[in-house]
Amino acid sequence: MSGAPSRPARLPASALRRRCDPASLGFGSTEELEPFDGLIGQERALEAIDLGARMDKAGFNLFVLGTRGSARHYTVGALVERYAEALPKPRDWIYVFNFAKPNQPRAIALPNGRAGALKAALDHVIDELLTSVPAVFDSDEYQTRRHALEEDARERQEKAFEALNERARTQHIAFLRTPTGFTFAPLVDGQVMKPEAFSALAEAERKAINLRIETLQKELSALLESVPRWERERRAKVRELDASFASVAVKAAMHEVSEAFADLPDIAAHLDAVTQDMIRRAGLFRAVAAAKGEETAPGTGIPDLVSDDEPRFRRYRVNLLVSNGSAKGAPIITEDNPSVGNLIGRIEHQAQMGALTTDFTLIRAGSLHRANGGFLMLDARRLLMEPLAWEALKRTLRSRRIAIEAPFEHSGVSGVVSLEPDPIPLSVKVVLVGDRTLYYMLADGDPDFRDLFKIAADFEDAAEWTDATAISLARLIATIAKREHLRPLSARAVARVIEEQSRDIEDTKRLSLHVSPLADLLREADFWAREAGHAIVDNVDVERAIEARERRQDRAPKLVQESIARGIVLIDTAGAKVGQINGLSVLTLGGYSFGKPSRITARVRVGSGQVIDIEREVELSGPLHSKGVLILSAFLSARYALDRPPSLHASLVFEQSYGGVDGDSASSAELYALLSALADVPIRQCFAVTGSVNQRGEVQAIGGVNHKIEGFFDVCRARGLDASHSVLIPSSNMQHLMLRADVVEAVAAGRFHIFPVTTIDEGIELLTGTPAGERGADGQFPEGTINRRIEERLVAFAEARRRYGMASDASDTGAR
Amino acid sequence: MSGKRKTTRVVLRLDNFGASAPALQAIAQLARAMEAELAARLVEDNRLLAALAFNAQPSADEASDASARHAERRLRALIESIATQSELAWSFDIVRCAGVMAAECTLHADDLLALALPEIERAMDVLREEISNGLARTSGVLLMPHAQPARNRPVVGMITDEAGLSRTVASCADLSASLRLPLSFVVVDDRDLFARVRAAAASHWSEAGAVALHAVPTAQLDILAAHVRSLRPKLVVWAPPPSWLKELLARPRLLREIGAPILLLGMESPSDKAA
Repeated sequence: MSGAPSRPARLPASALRRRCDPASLGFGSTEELEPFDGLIGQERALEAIDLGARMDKAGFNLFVLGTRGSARHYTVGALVERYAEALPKPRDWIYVFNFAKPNQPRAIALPNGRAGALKAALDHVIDELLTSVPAVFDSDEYQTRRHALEEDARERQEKAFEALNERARTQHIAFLRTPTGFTFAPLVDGQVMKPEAFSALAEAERKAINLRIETLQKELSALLESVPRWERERRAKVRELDASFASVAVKAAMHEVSEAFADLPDIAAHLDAVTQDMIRRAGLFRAVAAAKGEETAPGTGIPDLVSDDEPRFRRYRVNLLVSNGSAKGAPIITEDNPSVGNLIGRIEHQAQMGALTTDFTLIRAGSLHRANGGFLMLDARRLLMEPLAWEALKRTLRSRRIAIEAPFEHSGVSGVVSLEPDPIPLSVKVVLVGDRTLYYMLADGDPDFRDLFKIAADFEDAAEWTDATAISLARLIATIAKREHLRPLSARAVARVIEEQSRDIEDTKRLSLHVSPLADLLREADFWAREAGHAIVDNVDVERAIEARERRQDRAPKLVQESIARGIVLIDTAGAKVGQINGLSVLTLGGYSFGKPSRITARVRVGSGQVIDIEREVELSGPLHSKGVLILSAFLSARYALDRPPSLHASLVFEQSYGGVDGDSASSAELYALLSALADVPIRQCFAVTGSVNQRGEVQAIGGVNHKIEGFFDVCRARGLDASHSVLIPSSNMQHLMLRADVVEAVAAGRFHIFPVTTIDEGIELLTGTPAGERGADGQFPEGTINRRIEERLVAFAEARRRYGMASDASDTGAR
Repeated sequence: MSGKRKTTRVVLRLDNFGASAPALQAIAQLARAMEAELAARLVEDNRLLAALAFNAQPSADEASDASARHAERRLRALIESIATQSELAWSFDIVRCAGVMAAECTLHADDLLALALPEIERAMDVLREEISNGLARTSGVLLMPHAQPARNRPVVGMITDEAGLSRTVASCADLSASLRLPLSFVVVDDRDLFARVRAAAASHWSEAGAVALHAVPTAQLDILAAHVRSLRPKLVVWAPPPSWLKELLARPRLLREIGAPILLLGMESPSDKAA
């Protein structure tokens, strides 16, 4: 220990809260302010985003880190928009029927804006052909030629049979048709010869007749064998005729669209295939038109020839997957529900006659399709919570192409025959927005992550509170107010909001950049301003919003206060007691934090050098708390009775603590209680203490200092402030003081005090009113000091232990 | 038919080769329009029985007989079904004779002979004989093609000369009114003939709607037939003069040029002919 402990001075009211001077803001109301479209204190993140957005190499996707409520999505979206506007509009993508491989739909890219025109044109062609094809086939010309063709075929057969008949007749043979075929029979006098008459003929004559019949039968066989061939020829001619007529109608309908897309080789080739297929299947248009011809559109009397979605025509239609015609620059897509299907697209199925069917028109684009050539923004947590989505995204980014497949298909589980659409080349910048825990978890646990998301944009939670940042924050407040159609805020109101942003992070030197709670506060203040009939939001409205929010959430702290007031939870705020002190802790319920005083007590006796933390013994303490208690032991061992073996047995406990205790912010309070017990000097109960301590007895900063002070203040105020009530805080926490106005007022009035302490000696002097004492040149602490008393007690313990030969705790007999 | 002797029976000549159901239904529809009985006659051709003796199969007779009985049952059931649906008086008989003699065996002067044509006629000489015999012995011959035209098509009368004008116009008007179909006439281009057709149509037609008259500047049967076909008729009625009938029978293909059922009317009253 170096130097005598100085008696700490109580803090003035001015040190308890940093004020924002409305006059320093330089405006009357936020109406006067220009919108703020920048970022406050995010230079590092901006640099990362700039690199990520402009780097066009694979893997340079972005992961935006930051805490929730920091408006990362909005902010990054706005930033990315600037880059996207400067990028060229990506191409349109369509899926069309693959006439060569029907289960492998073709993906074709078009210059942006032209896919819609192609789709509309082909839809129009189908509608047109539903009218023109039947008309062509209904024409006299077609009917005549078809009829002639059919008649030629019939006549060919009829003539052949008639010729055979005639040849048979000239040979006196009848050519007869039977239900089972044709037969020949000899004729006599124009009548079929009776079998008995035939039998009566001479052998030679019978043979001659049989020979003639046999020859005719051979001719007949040859004729009958020719019939199927003639029929095939007829059908081929009919097909040819149909094709020639259909060709006229189809080519006329397709002419315009073919001309319009002649500059695109892939589309031109597809349109050729469509034309040829339409010609081949022209009968389909006739059949559909005939089926629908009698139907009319409701109330119009006009034949309803426009097929809604006639499945047989789908092969000619266009599945417009992505259209960028109306885009301004590259797309920015935010996917709020990043399931596998929503990300990489899906193939839908329709139930038809109890079976699931699909075709290329049921391919649905995913957000990767829509974002292709631009940016895709995803919430990392939502993405990871969607089954298979993370793996699907990584697979797609690695391969740089979007392959739509049925869910679970890659794992071999799917049993449905589906489509295999052409994969689409992918060039997208994925922006994942998540919290830091998630980022580090992925970075450590997923070997692909660092390869695919090379850029981390780490958003600050707070910015330094300077005049410039205050003005920037004021402009941000003005922007939010305008965007949300809220009333303008006065400079006083803005100043109050700025102070609240500082209190939010408990730091007088910094301002919270959490936009979400800030926007909520502005909305609530606007509500109260409206209730009060204010044209602009003033500081009273902001104050009321803060109070209302506190009131909505203060059920738990009120219950704690009530328990203390009713003596259920024992907290002394007056008098002095040995080995007992008021520690301070912070409870957080549902994101709302409040301070709560706790009684900490210490008991000592002769022992083997152990400091027992009762919380730890019953496993109610966390590791940080246990660490703090072990530091106490180390502090005691290193400071007192250095030439004696440690012979202390001490126990420490948080009285009436039934939940867990963690953190080391009470370690200084525990040490004070222990020192009080060892020195047998009472501690004034009007004090409460917070702060951690190290092995050297230095008091260190803790979190939640404002809530802790306010928690004790509320207890004391309930019992009546008597100017003795005080809180000891680590000196290093002075910069964090943003205390409530009522606390500041009480301090200003001298009814409540806050003491910053640097060392344990400073603290124990304040708490006991007894000097701590500094080891002199003789190696001894001065008489009457706390430290002298402690050392003497420990020496006494050691002597007692030696005297009684105590070897273990089991035979302890000492007393306090 | 108005002004004429009424057709009492539509005699439907059937054989064991069967006939298309749509054709039979169309014949029944026409019989109903004429308020005539549908008299189905299944002709079993004696010549075939004799010819079958030359068939190499020993059991051919038995098989042929079984096949004939099966065809008979099937045809009877079909005719009964069609006639019942049309609420038509009907009969079904089997006539055993040589095919070309069937007319003599079955027909009367007040009958209309109905022939259901096969898609491909492979015994054209038989058909010619049947048409000739039918026209000689009955009030007309109805040639019903295998396939039927669509509904709501007109009844078309073919007027090729003065002689058949009156009967054709009267028959067309009656059938058109009964079947509730439009009425058209295709007239060989002759000013006087056209005027007479107009007058005859006006006197016979009392239904709503106009009668369409088409003059065709030709006397060639195939061109006339093509023009008739272009009207897509439901039924064509024609009283062919002998010279045209001869041409028709020489080239039966012309029957199909029209592409519709044809009712050929005899030139004179059968009773007159009988007298």
